Amino acid sequence: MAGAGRGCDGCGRSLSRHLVTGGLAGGRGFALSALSGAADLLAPGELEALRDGRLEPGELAARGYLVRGDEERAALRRAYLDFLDERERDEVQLFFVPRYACNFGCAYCYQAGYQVAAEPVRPEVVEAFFGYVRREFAGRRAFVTLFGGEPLLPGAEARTFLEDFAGRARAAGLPLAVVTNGYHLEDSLPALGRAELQEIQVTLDGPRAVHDARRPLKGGGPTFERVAAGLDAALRAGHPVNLRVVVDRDNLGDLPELAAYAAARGWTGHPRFKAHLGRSYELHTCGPAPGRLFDRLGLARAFQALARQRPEVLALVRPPFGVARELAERGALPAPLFDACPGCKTEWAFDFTGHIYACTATVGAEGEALGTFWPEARLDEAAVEEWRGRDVLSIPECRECGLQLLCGGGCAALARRRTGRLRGPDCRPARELIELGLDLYLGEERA
Amino acid sequence: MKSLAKPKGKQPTPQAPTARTEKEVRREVEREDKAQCCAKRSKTTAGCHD
Repeated sequence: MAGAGRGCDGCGRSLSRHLVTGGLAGGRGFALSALSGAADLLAPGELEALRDGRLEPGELAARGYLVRGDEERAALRRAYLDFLDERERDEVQLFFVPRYACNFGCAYCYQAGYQVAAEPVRPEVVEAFFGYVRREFAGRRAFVTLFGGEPLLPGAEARTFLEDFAGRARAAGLPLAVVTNGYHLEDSLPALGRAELQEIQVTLDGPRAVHDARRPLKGGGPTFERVAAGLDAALRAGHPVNLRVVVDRDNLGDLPELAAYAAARGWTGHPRFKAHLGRSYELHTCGPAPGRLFDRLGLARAFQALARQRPEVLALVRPPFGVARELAERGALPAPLFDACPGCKTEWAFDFTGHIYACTATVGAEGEALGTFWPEARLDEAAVEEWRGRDVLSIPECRECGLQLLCGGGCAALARRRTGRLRGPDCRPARELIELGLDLYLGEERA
Repeated sequence: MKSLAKPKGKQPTPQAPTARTEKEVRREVEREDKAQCCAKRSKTTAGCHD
């Protein structure tokens, strides 16, 4: 259940439209309000009692589950203003793509159809990028993330670029992150170390044989050992590493073996190591094996089932399951999510051709540029405003949805692909994710 | 109803130390260790559209 239903006779209150309830194992349930911040575990029978208006109204009102309409509208307005303020204070992530070329031939790459120019990034483009950032993001906390293609490639030209870029980032007071396939990570660490390194993201899709089959070199050839050695070297140097594991139906079942490998290699226990699941999916075009892809809920269900059978995978990755992990681990709900899409708000992407994009989902894609920072700085303000103003209050389908403050309207790029509108919804199965996640993580606490 | 999270502005009642198992305490310490390096900036570097 999401949203209003029975209230209490005579008190002028009704169930909040932000009340979200769901069922858990053993006949239990949960109730929460992303607006009030309250969440409760319901004993068997209490979920029905709540829906039927048989629970004590004072308790429900204290939790923000039973509300007066005018009070709730005022609370929503205050929460929205807080959200806007918080976003203004939040740091901005600025992606820079030095090339779309890559030395890997991953079958599921969403950039596979991109036109790859062979030209190297010009020094004047790098200079223009840092100049643009200095002017346009003055006063904002920000960090730069090198992205691709593959940002770490061998050769003198690539090395000179990396040293120069890392040095400029440090001089500008901008921490640096890098999203890399990891193949040339070890060789690149001295150059990257010129910057304040915030995070290195590398991808391993499973144990050696699985990874090598999914993420081979272009033209063939294994990559696992080089990536693992790079990850080791990064941790030895004290850099934070974020391991991404891209999964679909073909490799989810290999996670326990990867978890065992990560533990044996000393990654899992390292304080600077963390890992997350990425989902292989179709962003711009249809992939080669759509039947093997998970949708969000399918992945959550499959992972939960796997984690119950093989709980050691949770030592490697602990997916958020909406707000469930945070609830179970911290005993608190995150702030209401008025907007899940950071594009043109706390995220921008820039590439070596001098173009500006909203985010990593659109960077380099034909027709997606919003402007240029080189050779001249100009922005399509109308297009930027379309991105910037997108949130659950401006997406018609989200405006009346009881899950709005948990879902945040999803990804703008995916919404446009699906609905034809940037301000269309990319719905997240918020309630079902919480059900799955609470069953998993609360069950773990009891074990 | 058993509270999982208090409404905003209300602090959760601290649990008595004796109510926590050794396993729970260890988990908390591990999480704190991770938090030292990860929570400073918890954004993943890509994939918000996953």
